[in-house]
Amino acid sequence: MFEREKAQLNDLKKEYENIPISLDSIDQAILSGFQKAKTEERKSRIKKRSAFGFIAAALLLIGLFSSIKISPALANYISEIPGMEKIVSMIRDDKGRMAAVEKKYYQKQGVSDEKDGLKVTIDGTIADEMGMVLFYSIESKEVLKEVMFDDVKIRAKDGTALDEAYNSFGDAHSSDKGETKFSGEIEYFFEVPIEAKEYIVDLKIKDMNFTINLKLNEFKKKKEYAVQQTMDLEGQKINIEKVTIYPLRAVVKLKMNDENEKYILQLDDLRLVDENNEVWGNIANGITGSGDKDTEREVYLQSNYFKEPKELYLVLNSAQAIDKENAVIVVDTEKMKILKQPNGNKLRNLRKEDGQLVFDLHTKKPFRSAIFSTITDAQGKEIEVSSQSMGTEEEKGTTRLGIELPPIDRSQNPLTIDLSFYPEWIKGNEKIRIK
Amino acid sequence: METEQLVKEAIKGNDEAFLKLIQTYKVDLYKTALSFLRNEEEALEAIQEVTYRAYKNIKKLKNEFYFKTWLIRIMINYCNDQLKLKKRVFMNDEMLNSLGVSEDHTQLELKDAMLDLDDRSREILTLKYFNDVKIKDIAIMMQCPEGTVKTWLNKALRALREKLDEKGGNLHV
Repeated sequence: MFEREKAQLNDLKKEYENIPISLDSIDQAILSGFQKAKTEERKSRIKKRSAFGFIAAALLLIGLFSSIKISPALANYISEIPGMEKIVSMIRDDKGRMAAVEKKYYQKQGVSDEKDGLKVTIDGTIADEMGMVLFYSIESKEVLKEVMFDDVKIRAKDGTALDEAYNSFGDAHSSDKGETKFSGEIEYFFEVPIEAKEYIVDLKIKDMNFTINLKLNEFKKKKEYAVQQTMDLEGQKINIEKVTIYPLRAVVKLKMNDENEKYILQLDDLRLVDENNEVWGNIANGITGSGDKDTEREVYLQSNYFKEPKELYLVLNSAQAIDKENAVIVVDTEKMKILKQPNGNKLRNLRKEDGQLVFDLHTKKPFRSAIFSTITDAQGKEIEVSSQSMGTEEEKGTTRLGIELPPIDRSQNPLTIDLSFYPEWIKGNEKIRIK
Repeated sequence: METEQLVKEAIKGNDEAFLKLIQTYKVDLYKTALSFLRNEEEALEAIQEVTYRAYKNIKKLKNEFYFKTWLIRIMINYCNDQLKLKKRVFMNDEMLNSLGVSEDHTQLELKDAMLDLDDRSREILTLKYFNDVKIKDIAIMMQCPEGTVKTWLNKALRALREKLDEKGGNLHV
């Protein structure tokens, strides 16, 4: 049966066997596809501790406070230690880490590993029982236009299991004219306190593995304040349970009241203030919080560890919040329709652009946050989002928000999108004393 | 290294092994793309996208013996989606010349007929006759009995005949 069709199909195959092929172009295409996958891999490597992690990139959040002044003592210290200036430039938007350097809690390491003309050095560390920041540099014999770590793993030398909560591997360094030296920082935070003092860091660049041993000094002990007080913004209640101050960051443990009518998303300006009105604000670059949006949550702030205040307050004036009734976006990607969204009709013009699902977010001032959190299909299955994009159109006051999704079947529609940021605020004037 | 070993390494995250594998099958991939999309530029774009998708999903590949089928299927799925996106474009002589193929009328009709088929038929015919994948392997990849694949294959061939008949000119005995 169908002998003729089979013969024709075979002829067709033979015909393609003789087609001239540009192997170079194919190799080029393979390389582009591979690079695209690698770039995204890095982007998504920031491990989320739970479904509702908040991560800020330096440019996304407009810092509450302008950059931190360098004290004369610090300026002196910087000039004494070679390479210190560069490190300080990396932590300038974090008061707590600046103070750690100033109080000489920064630990010089200078340990390195070298392979095939590439040298990776851990210049120094700031560490506490919940995390560590490693300052690294990469030196190359040849001029490089691009270099980044493909993987970084930290393990305890004695084999104790480490429960990592969040890590970021430093930057994807790139330079059009090419450089021979690059530097950046690696952040590692843990779920449970670490005790070991000796660590092995495995770093991977392309197929080269570098191994560096680290010895950490004794950690400074955390300072804990039990609080159990309630903050109230327009009737929405937040119970502040505990504040713990570590050298690298302050952790505010809080719980949203079950009876709230709104989900409280981002606490915009939660901050520590001492008796002299000195302020420690949110983390500008890195993980800013974790936990669940309607129950318990941890918010991370810059640390005031190296100051010994007489009085310490936790202050909040503004938070993003949306009605629980209308807290998600529901879209039909086939009909390209927004079926549901929070009150105010701020999201408009759903469309497909460059393979992404794109919305326009209308606000008075551009809202510089990628607002989407998890996305689930009609069957309640989570859809993997490969990337989110964001761009602002200043003159129109709109923010263009894109999500890159895998192909969606008809049966998966409609999709439900959870939010981690949204331009609706509740305000107040809350100040509670914690010390 | 044996292909299976390479696949194992690639699943573990070895980039070099992954790229070697794509190299091994790049010509198969390219020809499959060309047969669907009939345009060099789009076929290259397909290679890029399939490399990307394969890298993202290789951890989900359960059996290292079926890497080739798995890879070709990613390509076929991609091409099917592309075909749906852009409505069918008829080829003109210029496009044919740019392909470097001198086509007789029958070949052209066959290609048109292939594009008219449903996705599954097109996939199964492409796997079987274009990429020489065994029925047994297609069955494993599609997670169904071999008998079902044979039934589908027959249906696909019948559908192909009907499409060719519609176009006339294909006199079979």
